[in-house]
Amino acid sequence: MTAGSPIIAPAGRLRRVEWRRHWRQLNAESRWGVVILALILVLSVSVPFLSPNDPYSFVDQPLQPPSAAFFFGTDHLGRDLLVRVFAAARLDIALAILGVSVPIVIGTFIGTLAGTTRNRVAETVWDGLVNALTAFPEIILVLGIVAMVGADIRGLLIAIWISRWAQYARIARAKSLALRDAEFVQAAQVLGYSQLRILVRHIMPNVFSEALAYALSDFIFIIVIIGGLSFLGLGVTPPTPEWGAMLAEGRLYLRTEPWLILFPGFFLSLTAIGVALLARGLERISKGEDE
Amino acid sequence: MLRLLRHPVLRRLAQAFFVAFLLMVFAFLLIRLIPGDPAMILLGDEATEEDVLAYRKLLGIDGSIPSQFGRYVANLVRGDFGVSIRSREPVLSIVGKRLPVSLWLTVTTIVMTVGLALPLGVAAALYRRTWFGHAFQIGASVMVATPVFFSGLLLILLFAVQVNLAPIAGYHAGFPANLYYLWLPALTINFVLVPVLARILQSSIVETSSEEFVEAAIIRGTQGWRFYWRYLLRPSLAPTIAALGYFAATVVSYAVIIEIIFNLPGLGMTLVDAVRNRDYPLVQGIVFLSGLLVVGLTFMADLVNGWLDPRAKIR
Amino acid sequence: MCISFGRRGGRKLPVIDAANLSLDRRQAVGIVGESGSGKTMLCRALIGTLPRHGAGIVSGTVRFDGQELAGAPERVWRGIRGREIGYIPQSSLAGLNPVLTVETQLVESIAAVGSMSRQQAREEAVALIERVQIPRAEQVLKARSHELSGGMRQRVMIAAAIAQGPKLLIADEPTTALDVTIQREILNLITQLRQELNMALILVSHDLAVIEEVCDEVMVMYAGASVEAGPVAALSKAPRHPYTRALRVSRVDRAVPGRDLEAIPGDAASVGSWPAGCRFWPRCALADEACRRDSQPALMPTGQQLSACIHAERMAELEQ
Repeated sequence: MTAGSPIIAPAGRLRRVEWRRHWRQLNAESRWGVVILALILVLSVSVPFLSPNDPYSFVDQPLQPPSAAFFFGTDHLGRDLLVRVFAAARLDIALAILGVSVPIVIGTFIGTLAGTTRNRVAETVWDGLVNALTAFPEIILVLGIVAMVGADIRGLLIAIWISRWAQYARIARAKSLALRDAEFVQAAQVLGYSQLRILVRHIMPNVFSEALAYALSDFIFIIVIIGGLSFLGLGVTPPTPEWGAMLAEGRLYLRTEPWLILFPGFFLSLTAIGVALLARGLERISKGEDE
Repeated sequence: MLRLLRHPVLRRLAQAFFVAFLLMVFAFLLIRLIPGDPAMILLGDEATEEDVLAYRKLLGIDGSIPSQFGRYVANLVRGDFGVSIRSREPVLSIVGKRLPVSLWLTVTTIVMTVGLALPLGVAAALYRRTWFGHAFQIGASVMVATPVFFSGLLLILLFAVQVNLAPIAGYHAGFPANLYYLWLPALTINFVLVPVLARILQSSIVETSSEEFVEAAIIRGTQGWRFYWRYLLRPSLAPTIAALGYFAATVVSYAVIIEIIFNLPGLGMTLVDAVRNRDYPLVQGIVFLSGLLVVGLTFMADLVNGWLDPRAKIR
Repeated sequence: MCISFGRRGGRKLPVIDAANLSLDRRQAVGIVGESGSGKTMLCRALIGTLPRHGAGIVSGTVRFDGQELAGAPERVWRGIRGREIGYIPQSSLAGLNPVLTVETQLVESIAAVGSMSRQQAREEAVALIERVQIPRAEQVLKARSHELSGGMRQRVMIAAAIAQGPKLLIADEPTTALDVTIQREILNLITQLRQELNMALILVSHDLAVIEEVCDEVMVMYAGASVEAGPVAALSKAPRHPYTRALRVSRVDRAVPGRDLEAIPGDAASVGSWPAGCRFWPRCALADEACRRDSQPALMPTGQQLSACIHAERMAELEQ
């Protein structure tokens, strides 16, 4: 994907006509991805807004099966599962976006920096560092950091930021290695721009598009980590509605009231599937594999 | 000495040691992430000066940072990973007790992965243009995107609640009885792993099948299992084995969540308990050792790879 | 014979629609033509491995030792490939499996013949390697494809092709990717092996000189049809098809110093866009109304050979 790619255009400048044009450029996979994600986003905004029920309040008898009154039934404390599932969607997606956006910036910056130095020793040490950091099993590293920083949302986010930047740095370094001899970079050097300016204004934007492509698949991983740690009781904790935490609560009623895990689990998977479809579709378009 | 490093295996080994050293540094730094004084956090405000000092000593955070690191490394070399704050048991002996369960889970998983991914990848490549190929693509996308803690619950619902083929949770040591407790957890991890690997295998078989030596072999009259194994599968295995090595970290990762879901008393469960209890030395030890385990597994995958595909050795 | 590409249910695209080739035991026949003329397709049809999806023999016969092979089931072909007909594929430099040793691949070809112990097969492999004139046989047997030079690889491919003692050897452009000096060695080797082993040979080349050196008979192909066939000497001395003549004139080794090489004007007709009438007319100096109007002419006897040119007799006059 090149920097001028129409697929990821600067937001805010998109007008109606452009939307239609972009839509036409998408293939079946990415369209499905967009449809699924749009559906989940709309539901996560509208359901808690339209429903008279609050995700925290006890509205009826606990453990009621799905019915006309409560589409998804009620949970073990008698809260409306429908509202909780979509309130959780909001939180999970917001946290995952937050989890992706910091490492992408930090990683891209560090990786570009590493890619533009020409020091042999620095390169060797760099390789070892990134290899070491990525050698840790992801969830165990996150758990380790959470243990130290604190088992809550803040600790979880810090753990994700610390453990995920290395992948972006790796991508950025590879790309900027190729870019550091590009003509426009040399032109900038001739014009006497400072190194930092060249780095931030000229190299990073070009590296960024590649990092964004990776960010989509990283998003899936991070939303699974957020859910996973909350499932273990070490991230978002009850009563806050969060998919992983809801699965942990519902797990106790697996035998008799399986809908307690089916609804949150389904929408968590669906979100991941939507992002995966979008990622695969965009990857195919950028490779020119349109069928 | 430096000339020795030209040998590919020795160079890999040297890299592995360097990475292991850095893992140690990371593990050492981990405990320094704690905001504030860990001893104070653990003991509370009413602790006496003496208690705090004793605790700092226990955690290895007394004295200057370089001297702390020196002691830390010296202890590790002697096999001393510190003691658990909670049980006062040496970390290494706790790990020694819990590790077998995790290793059994990992081995069962990988055996199952190979057993499922190989035939599936081959079938997906051979029948790429039929309904099976399309069903495989869709099924794989869905399975990969399903988090293990959800697919695990679904599989329990199916195999342990609906059909009584597995226990809902729990463990008994001793082979082969433990397989009864391990197969469902292993299947859960493979729910994510197999589609990924089968896909990699599929695309490399497709790539291989357009190579000229495959056609040449058909023309020479090579046929039967020998043709499939030597000319299609073996030249295609290298990327899959490399990926298996790469996913070693993922297996160890998911094993943590799986052990909690299925109530397996392995390292993952120990780690989660340790995190809940703020048992810093135990967390530190497990994080370091699991990193070491992954480095070892990746190194082994590299070796197998070199044997399978001599082309890979040259690079 | 007629071979065509095509998807199931889609339009069939003929690639060869008029090619005739027959040879006796111990005879060497050459096929010559530009790329895209259907040489490789024809050879592939002869061993039942037409490349690409959907290619198939539409009509015509492939007869080997009296046995009809066109449309024969895969089971029959397996008994033929390697055993009865040896094949050296066009891109044989990439024809060795990079993960296996030369020995493994040769032993596998030999063992396919019948019950033979490992030891025997190994000895046979050494003999084969020596037969294709590779020195230090043991060392080469232990090697893998990327450790061998182009000429060596080609020799190994030849060894594999003759491993089962075939009656017919098909070599599709066996020397194209090699250095000139090595080309000559390989051609000599093929000639020598043919005599030693009593094999018939089909040699495919775009170079008439190569064919003249090795073969007795030659068939010239253009745009999926044989346009001229007969003894090598006759075709090179007195061609009776303008295309053969053009091929002969464009040969580098006959070039007169100081004069430009005479290239055949125009581009070779590509599959799917053959002109109506004689397919060569857009590039032919002799073409007239009849050439454009009538369909591709069949081979007719003229002189010592067969030609598919309606002006064959006029050409004979012109040559004199």
